[in-house]
Amino acid sequence: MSKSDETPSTGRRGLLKDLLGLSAAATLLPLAGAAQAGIGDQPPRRPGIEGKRYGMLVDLRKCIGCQACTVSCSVENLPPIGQFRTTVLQYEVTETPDAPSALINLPRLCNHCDEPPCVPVCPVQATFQRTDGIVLVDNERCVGCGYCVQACPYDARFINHETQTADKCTFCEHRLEAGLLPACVESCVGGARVIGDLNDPQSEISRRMDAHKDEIRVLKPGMNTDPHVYYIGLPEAFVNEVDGQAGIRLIAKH
Amino acid sequence: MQIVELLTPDYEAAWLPWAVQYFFFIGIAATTALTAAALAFGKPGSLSARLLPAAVVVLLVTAIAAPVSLLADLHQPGRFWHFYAHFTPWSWMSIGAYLLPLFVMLALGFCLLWWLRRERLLRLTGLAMALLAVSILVYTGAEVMVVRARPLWNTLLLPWNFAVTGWLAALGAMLLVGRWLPGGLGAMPMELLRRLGISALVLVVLGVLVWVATGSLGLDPSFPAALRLFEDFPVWRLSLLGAVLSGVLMLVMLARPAARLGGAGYSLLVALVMLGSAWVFRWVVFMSVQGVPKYGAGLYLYSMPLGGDGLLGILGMFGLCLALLVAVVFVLERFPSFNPARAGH
Ligand code: SF4
Ligand code: SF4
Repeated sequence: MSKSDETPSTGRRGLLKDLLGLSAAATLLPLAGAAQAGIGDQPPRRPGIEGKRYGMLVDLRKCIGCQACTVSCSVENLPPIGQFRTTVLQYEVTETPDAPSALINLPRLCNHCDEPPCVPVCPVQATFQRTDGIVLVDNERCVGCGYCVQACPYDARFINHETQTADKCTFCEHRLEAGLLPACVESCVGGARVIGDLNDPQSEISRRMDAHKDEIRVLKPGMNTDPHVYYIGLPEAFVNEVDGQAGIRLIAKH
Repeated sequence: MQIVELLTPDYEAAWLPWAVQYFFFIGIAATTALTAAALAFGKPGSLSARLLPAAVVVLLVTAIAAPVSLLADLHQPGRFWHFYAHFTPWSWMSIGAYLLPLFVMLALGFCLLWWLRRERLLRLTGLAMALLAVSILVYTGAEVMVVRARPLWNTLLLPWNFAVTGWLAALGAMLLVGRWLPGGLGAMPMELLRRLGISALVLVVLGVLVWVATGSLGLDPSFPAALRLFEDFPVWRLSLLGAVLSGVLMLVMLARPAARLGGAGYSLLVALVMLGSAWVFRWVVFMSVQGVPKYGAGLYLYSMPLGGDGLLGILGMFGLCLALLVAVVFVLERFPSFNPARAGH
């Protein structure tokens, strides 16, 4: 993808400028500039699987809400009980008062964004993105400050209660590297999840995305994160924020 | 179209009440530093010089309490040295990790120089400390402001509000500790304190007016986001009401003649209201806003744990402040300055 060979950001030079700006700061005005310049820029990516850019396509028409992905992810990646790297959100939608209700199943996971806001905020570079687009956390380095959890607009991250560090979906990169599919894709009963290389126009995901060009949506496009998890059949009302009635919540206990 | 959530996860707050404590103490420390740096230029016996001891004590206590709370907000506090092993100039938090120790060292140095009555050096250190204090206000504000995922934080008014409510709390803290210092409340320049308090309050109101104005013109998305909360949720309406009421209350209290502030009970009340509003403001900004879903409907309920990550942590920090205060007051009573013969008043 276009961003994979991005040149290193102007971070260091930017900082110097900003610090000079700070010392002259009698007002908060220079702040707006600083926040948009060097500070907050994406750092260079680290090496990943050569030449690829992974993405996932989720066809909501095929999702039956069975949570097989939720379970297989938990078995594969062993997050603490009550915490999830992926899960299927379920909603009841009623178009008009007398129409029958429909069930919407919305699988959620890290979007492995091309402009991931979770990466530049990390104060110790424990969160990083690879050239193949996969966003990872080095949990040996992570200080558990929770900044990336705040910065992700998708609630894709959490502080793992056991490791006390940031945790999230990895696209099962350990399985991809071994030539396997991620656990959620492997176990998907309806075949709703497709993962693949978006750099390869012949990959299944590229062909399917081509065939459904006009129906593809991402979550919160207004955040300018360029998410790389794409949905087919996502109703307009679910793109940004769900304006509805809150229901049962799976509560994680310490 | 009607949407009902059937099954959604509960997303926990990633920043704990420790964050509230950190932003409370660092806000007080930075604004007290700015105030103290200015006061240090007052002639011996002037109003400024009479407010300086209280400012120094507040500075000393909060400059120690702030980094302690910050450390505790990390889920892996033992790894704090990673901040220094991996400098990350594109992250405000990393920049802050370098600014904070510098500021704390200068603040402690300033307090020591005041105690040693080294006036020239005190003023110079004060200037350097003031510069660092500004950078602290900028970094703490910007760190939260840049989080686009939370529209309520993503506004320039947030750093402003942190700073001016921090100053309000700082003045309240001086009013609070003044009573325990040599000379007691009688030695405090109440008229000066009252005028500074009103200035801080005016700056708070100014921020709110600018927010409402820019928000109504469609320039600040945090404004409609807040309006929606006020419309939809009684708790948010309640906190709005509380904010307005405490603002009016402070204005009424500070508008009364300064002599009133000399009363022990009354000044205690004023001080606690000033400190309390700044603390509650931070609680709402951090804990309540983290309860606003980024995607889902309704609100997430934050139930405060009773242990170190919750109530006990909060009380513990106030306990630490109290202990520091007792120690400082004890030292100042015995040794008002290092060289009593040269001490001013
Ligand atoms: S979905 Fe969230 S965690 Fe994943 S890359 Fe995007 S911003 Fe980061
Ligand atoms: S929680 Fe860990 S990964 Fe996230 S920003 Fe903090 S140090 Fe980085």
